[in-house]
Amino acid sequence: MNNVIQGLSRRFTKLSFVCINHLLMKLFSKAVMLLFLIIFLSQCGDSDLSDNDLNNVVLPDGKGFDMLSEYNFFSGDLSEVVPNVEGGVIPYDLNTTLFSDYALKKRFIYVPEGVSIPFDTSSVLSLPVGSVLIKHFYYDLDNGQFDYVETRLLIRRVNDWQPETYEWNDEQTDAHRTIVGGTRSLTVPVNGTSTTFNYLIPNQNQCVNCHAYDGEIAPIGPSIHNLNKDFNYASGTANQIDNWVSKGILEPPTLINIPHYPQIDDLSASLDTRARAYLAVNCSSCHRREGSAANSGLYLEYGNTMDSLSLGFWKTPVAAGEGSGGLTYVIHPGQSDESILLYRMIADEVDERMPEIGRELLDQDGIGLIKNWIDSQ
Amino acid sequence: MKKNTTKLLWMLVLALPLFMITSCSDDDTDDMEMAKEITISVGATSADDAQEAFIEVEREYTIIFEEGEYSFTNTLSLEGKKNVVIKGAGRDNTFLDFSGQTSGGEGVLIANCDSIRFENITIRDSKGDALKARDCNKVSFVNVGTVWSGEPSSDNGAYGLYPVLCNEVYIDNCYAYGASDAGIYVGQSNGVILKNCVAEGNVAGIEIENTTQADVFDNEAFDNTGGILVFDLPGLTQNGNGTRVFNNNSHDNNRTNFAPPGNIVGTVPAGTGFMVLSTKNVEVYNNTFSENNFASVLVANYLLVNDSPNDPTFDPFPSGLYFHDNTYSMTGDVNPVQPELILGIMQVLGLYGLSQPNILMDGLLLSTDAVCINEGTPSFVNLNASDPTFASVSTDVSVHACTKDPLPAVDFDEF
Repeated sequence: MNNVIQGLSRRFTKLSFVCINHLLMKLFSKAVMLLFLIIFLSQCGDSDLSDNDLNNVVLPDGKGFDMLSEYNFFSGDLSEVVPNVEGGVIPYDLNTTLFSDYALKKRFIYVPEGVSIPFDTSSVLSLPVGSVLIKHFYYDLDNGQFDYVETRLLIRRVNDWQPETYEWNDEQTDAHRTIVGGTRSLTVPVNGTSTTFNYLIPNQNQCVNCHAYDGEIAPIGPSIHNLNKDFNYASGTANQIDNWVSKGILEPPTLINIPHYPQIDDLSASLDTRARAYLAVNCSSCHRREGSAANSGLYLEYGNTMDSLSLGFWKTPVAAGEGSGGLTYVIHPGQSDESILLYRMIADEVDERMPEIGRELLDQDGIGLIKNWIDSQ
Repeated sequence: MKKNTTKLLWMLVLALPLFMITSCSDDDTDDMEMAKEITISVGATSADDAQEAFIEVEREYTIIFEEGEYSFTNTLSLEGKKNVVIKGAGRDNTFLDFSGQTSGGEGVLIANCDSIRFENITIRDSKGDALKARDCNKVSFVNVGTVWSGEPSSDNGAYGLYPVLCNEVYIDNCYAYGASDAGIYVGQSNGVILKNCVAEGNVAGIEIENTTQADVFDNEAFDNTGGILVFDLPGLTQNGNGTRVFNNNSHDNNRTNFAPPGNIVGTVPAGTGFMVLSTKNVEVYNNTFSENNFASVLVANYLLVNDSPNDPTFDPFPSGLYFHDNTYSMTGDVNPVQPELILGIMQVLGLYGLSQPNILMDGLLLSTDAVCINEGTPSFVNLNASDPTFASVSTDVSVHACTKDPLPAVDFDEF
C-alpha cells in the first residue's frame, strides 16, 4: 500500500510540475525556470552525496541505502571487501566470537572524525553518534572461492542503533538491503566435511532479539575484553586497543592492565575463564537481566560470579518446555550429561536448540569446552 | 483579467517549493489521510508480507489478516512498537500455521511493545511457544486461539498464550489447546485480567506465575492435567502476590501429565482443579470444581518439589490464601498414572484409608492461618509433610476456619 501511495504521490508531483512548467514557460524567462529547476533538484536530490568526495563514508538520513556499495565502506572492487581505511573504516577482530553456523566474519568499525569512544571495561563500548559496526558473513569454499552471504550494519543514531542487513547477490558483486531476511540453503565445508544446511539471514526484529539491552537495540561484540588482542593491519601487526587509541577513535585507557577474554582454544588460560568468556559472548546478550531471556532467570554474563543459582548451578528450568531434555538442572555440577545447558547446545529441534537463531549446526569446539567445564565443577 | 492570472501564477510559483518539500519528505503525511490499515492476504509471499508489515508498521495502524491459512517457517515478530492492532477474521477463520517452522523459538513474538492488541486469530502448531509477549506494557489478546493439532503430546510447544514480564495484560475470550506446559500462562507480570477463556487438553489449563495483581474469572478449564494454577518459583525477576480466582468452572481435569520431564509443571497431579504453589495472597471463591479426581484444590510449598531453592529472596511458604464459597464434586476414580512424588502421596492417603480429598495440603506452612478455608464441609487432608514418617496426617479442616479481607479488584484500562 505504501508503494502505491508513494507512486501516486510521485506521479501527482510530476504531473503538477509539468502543468506549472507549462504555464511558467509562457510567462517567465528560461533563466527563472532554471532557478526553480535548481531548487527542485537540490530538494529532491540526495544531499548526502552532493557534498562528499569519493573517499568519504556516506550514511543515509533515514532507512538504509538500497545497496551496500552506496555507503562507501569499502574501497576498490566491493567483492574484495577491502575497508576504506582512508575514509575511516577500520578492520577489527574479537578474542571470543559468537558462533554462527561456522560462518567466517570480517568486522569493521567506522567512527566519524573528531569524536572518540570512551574507554570503559564494564560493558560493551558506547559508540558516538554516526558510528557504524559492519559485520560481513561468508564461507571459505576451500577452492579459492568465497561465498558471501550477508553483511550486517549497526548504525549509531542520536537515540538508538539502526540495524540494516544486506544480502549478497549471486554474482557476489554487491549486496541489497533486506528487512525480512530469509533462509538460504548452503553447502559449505565444515571441519573438512561438505555440509548442507539452512542459513538464516535474520529479519530486522530478530537482530533486536539478541542485540537487546533493556529493550533497546545494542551491539554485543566490541567490549575492551574482547578487543584486546593483536590484529594484522595492512601497516603491520598491532594491538587493537593501541591502534584505536593512536587513530583517535578510542580514548586512552584508564587502566594499566587491560583485561581480555581468552580465545577458547588458548590453553594457557584457565578452563573456567575460557568457558565463562564463551558463555558471555554466545549466551549473555540474551541471558542477562537486561536481555531478552531475562525471564529465564539464567544470567551468563562474564561478571556474574557471585550468584551460582542465576549462573545455572542446581537451577531448575522455568519455561524450557521440551528444551529441558528431561533433565532437572541447567547445570548439574560434575555431570554435563545431566545439564540442560549442554543439552540445548547439542539439541537439533527448533524449539530446543540454543542459541535460538544462527545455530542450525553444532559448535563442536564450544560443546567440548562447556562439557569439560561442567564436568570439572 | 490578465492581472489576476499573473497573481495566481505567482501564488503557484511561491507555493511550489512548499509543495516540493512535502513531495520529497516521508510518506507519512500522505498516509495520514488514508485508513491506517495494512492488509495481509493469503498468497505465496504472505509470510514475508506479514513480517515486513510487522517491522514497518507505525503507531495507530491496524494490521489485518484476511480470512485464510497463512504458513510460516520462521517466528513472526513485532518489536518495539506502540499502539498497534493486529487482527484476523475470527478464531475459526484466520490461521497462522507454523507446522513447517524451521527457525525461531516461538510462533508469534511481541517484544518491547506498548499498547498492542492481538485479536480474532488462531495460531497453530508452532514448534515452541505459540504467542509470546515479552517486556510489554498494555498487551491484549482477545478472541485468540493457540492450538496444537491432534492428541496433546509432549512434542508440542510449552505455552499457548504467553505474556511474560508485562504490565496490564488483558486476555479475553481466548482458547488454548494442547500445550505441553500451560495453555494460558502469565509469568512475571503485573496487572492481569484473564476472563471468558477456555483451556482444554493442556498440562496446565491456566497458569499465573510470579505475577502480581491478577484477576482470573469466568473461565472454563477442562481435560487438562491441572485446571488453574497459581505458582511462585525461585530465581526469577520477581515474586508473585495478589491473585483472585473466581467464577471459574474447572472440571474433568484428569489428563495424564505429558509435560517434558524437568519442568515444574511435570509434578502436577492428573486430576487437579486448582493448585497454588508458594504464592502469597490468593483469594479463590465462587468457583465450581467438579470431577478433578486427585484434588479439587491443592496447596503446596515449593520445598515439597525441590528442597534447595537457593534463592534468598524467595519465600517458599504460601500465605494469605483464602478459599470460600466454592463448589466441589468428585465422584470418579483418580488417574493411576502420576508423577512419582504424587504416587507417594497417594500411597500415604491409602495408608490412612482416605479418599482423594476436595482440599489437599502438604502442610508446609508457617502458621495455620496462612490458609483460611470458609467452605462448609469439604473433605480435607493435611499431609503435614514436615513429618517424614507421615504420622501427622490430619483431616481436621476447622483449624483453617478463619477469614481474610477480600483482595481488591484489578483495574486498568485495557488497550
